[in-house]
Amino acid sequence: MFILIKKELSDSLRNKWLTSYAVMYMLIALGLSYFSLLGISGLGLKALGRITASLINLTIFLTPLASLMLGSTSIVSEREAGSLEWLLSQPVSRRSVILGKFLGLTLAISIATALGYGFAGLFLSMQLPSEDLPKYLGLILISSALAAVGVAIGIFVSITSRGRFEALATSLLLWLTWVIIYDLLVMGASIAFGLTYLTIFLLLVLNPVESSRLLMAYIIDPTLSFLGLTGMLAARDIWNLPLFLASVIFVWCLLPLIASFKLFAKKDV
Amino acid sequence: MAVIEIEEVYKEYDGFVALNEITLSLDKGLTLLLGPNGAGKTTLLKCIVGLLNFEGEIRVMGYDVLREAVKAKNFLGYLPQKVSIYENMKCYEIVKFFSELRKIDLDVEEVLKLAELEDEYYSKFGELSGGMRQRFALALLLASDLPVLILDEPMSNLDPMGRRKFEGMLRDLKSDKTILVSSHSLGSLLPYADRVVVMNEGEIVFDGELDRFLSMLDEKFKAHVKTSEGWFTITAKTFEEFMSSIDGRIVKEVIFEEIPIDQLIAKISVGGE
Repeated sequence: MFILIKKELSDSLRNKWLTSYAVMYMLIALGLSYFSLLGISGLGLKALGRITASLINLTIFLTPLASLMLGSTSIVSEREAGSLEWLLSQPVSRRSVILGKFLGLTLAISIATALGYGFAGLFLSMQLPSEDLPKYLGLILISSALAAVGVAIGIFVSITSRGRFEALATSLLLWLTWVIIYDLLVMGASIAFGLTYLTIFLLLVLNPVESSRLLMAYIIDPTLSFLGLTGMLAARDIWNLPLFLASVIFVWCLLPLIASFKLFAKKDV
Repeated sequence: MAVIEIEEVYKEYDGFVALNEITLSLDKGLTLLLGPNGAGKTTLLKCIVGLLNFEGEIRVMGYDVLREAVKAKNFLGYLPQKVSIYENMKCYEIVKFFSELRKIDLDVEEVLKLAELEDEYYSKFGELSGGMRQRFALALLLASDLPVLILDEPMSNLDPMGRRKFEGMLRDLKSDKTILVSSHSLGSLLPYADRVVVMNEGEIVFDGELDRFLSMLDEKFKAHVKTSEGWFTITAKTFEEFMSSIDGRIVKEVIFEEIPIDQLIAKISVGGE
């Protein structure tokens, strides 16, 4: 399986889309850090918190988009090109093909994201006190977890799609749902049914993007005070909130992978 | 135990029966799988390689191709009708990747020499022509020395020179390998086949040795032979008859004439096989 991971990683690093994503990420992250510093110089650690908050917003938009798109084209493109037939005629299991794609793509997106964060982090470390900089590692790790979720769901979409266009359209729709539509739906439901804060919070974190955002926010401020009353109460009332959020992300990663294993095993090539 | 055992294999696509309870056992030697387009040849080959799911059972060297796929595929090499590997990978990278997947040690230069693609070491697979791709993929299989070869219309992209070379390779290999070659026409491979299997509409309509096939066909095959004395035409009913017509002359080239496959199916139907 290591051979397949290596192959996927090397292909992804040659992929122009991923290179563009890494460069764009790096430039925006650097820009955000620079302009945040200009506006809040002299605030020390709080400044770092605000900069990382900007980076979080960038991550939760870009990482799911890149991972869903790369994941959703992974299997279907190879099927259309015919190389999947060649690969599966070699002594490799279908499960290792899925796992190879999953780990290779997740690793590639994580490297690209880490580059973006890394450059911004390097820049910040020269400008600000460095006590909070280790939090950067946590943010990169959560970004990688979010990338893993996107890739896992993307691969599932790829297996179920009839063509590349269908796979891309489905992944774009999923991305829109995650970053915009789902929040609006929860908001609408809370107004229509008068939901309690805890129900709203639980409904929100069912969305892996939201779970990742909250987990990142928790790293910056464990009281979640900047999320208002709902955030503060949730941080107080939910037992081991970071573990709960991490579990949601883990389940979102695991379920599509298991479904992909089962579906791909029965799929004609 | 046969090298390839196919038992009551049934496969359908959206209600269309592509394989209807196929049972077949294959041992060493060259088996030619004939049939018109849509007869189910490619579907059968893909089932043997484990690329398609099906009802029934197929075992290669005793391993179930669906449940013990990796073990079964360790023994078999598959050449699809249209060879597609990775367009962006360079030829030498593909040889290395293939070696790693098969856990064997292949010499890149040796493979490229076998494929007559010595100058394409750094060429991307996507830059190769159809014939070059075919030769490259075939060279990978031959260099791996696999005991079972499943070749789907292997001559389709080869030029006349490539075809003759390929025929020669199959003739040399068939004594110690199990080779199943599909073709939609009764082409030049026929004289080298040890066994002929004919499929039509998802069923096996003939299965027997070459001579029985030719006698059943009740038709002589025609070949144009080039010797030091020039070109002449031989018509023969069996391969032995063909060889005796050559009469010890040194053969430089042989081009077999095609027999239309529809004509063959019609004869088999009349013969009640």
